Amino acid sequence: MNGQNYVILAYAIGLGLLWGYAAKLWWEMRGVARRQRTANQGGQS
Amino acid sequence: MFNAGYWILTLLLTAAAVAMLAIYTPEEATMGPIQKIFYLHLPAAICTFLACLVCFVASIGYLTQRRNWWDDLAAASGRVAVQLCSIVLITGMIWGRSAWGQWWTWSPRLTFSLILWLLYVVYLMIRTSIESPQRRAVISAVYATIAFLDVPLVYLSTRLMVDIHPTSITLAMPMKLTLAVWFVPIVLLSAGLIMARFRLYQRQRALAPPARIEPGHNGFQWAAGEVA
Repeated sequence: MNGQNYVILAYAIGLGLLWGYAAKLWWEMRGVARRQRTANQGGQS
Repeated sequence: MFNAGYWILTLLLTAAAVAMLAIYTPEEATMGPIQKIFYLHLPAAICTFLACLVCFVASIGYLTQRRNWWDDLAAASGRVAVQLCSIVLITGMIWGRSAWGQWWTWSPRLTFSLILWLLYVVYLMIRTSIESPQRRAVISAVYATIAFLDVPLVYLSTRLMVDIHPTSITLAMPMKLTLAVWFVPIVLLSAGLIMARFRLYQRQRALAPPARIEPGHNGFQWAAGEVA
């Protein structure tokens, strides 16, 4: 593997970890918002 | 809650920084293309320290004020610190493989960095292993306060001890500019992740059933009292 490939690997892993975690949080927030809506509807009925 | 504008801007800045690195940034004369790892490695390292600092301050805040949001902030920053420290270790290892011919060496900076990562991984494990919210908050706040002591050791290790890790690198003007540009998306990402995780913890706390005070729990009755 040459230097260029090591650089690509490092940035792919680094940015992947950060943006992957951002995507994971976004997904979890969708789930929490859904649960919150369900809880609110349950409280109103 | 998850501000779309902030994340779109951060994504665009990340793309711009990647484009700058590929098109504009020159290769370093002695190290060649592998030096370009530095533009991610250093901002991630600085942001790791800042995330650990936020975790430390929030833990002190919780221990002094007993407010739940301090605990949420400490947990969020501790989680992001692990993510950032992982990036520092991985990019450092890749750089070491190319520059030194080995993935890992037990130099003081690398060793203290690995210890820092382990300390915060254990912090997250402590948080998941204690069921009582009050006990969890107190124990993890005390732990995070002590764990932070490793941060100055990581920073000072190359200055106080003989180390293979470079202490300073001389950069040409385009390289300095690239480094400055890379700091922006990494800082924005780190701050955004801490805030998103913090808000998520708060929402989850609001949805969770009310915490139960454990009667007769001698060690932490004083901590449980606030929930009543």
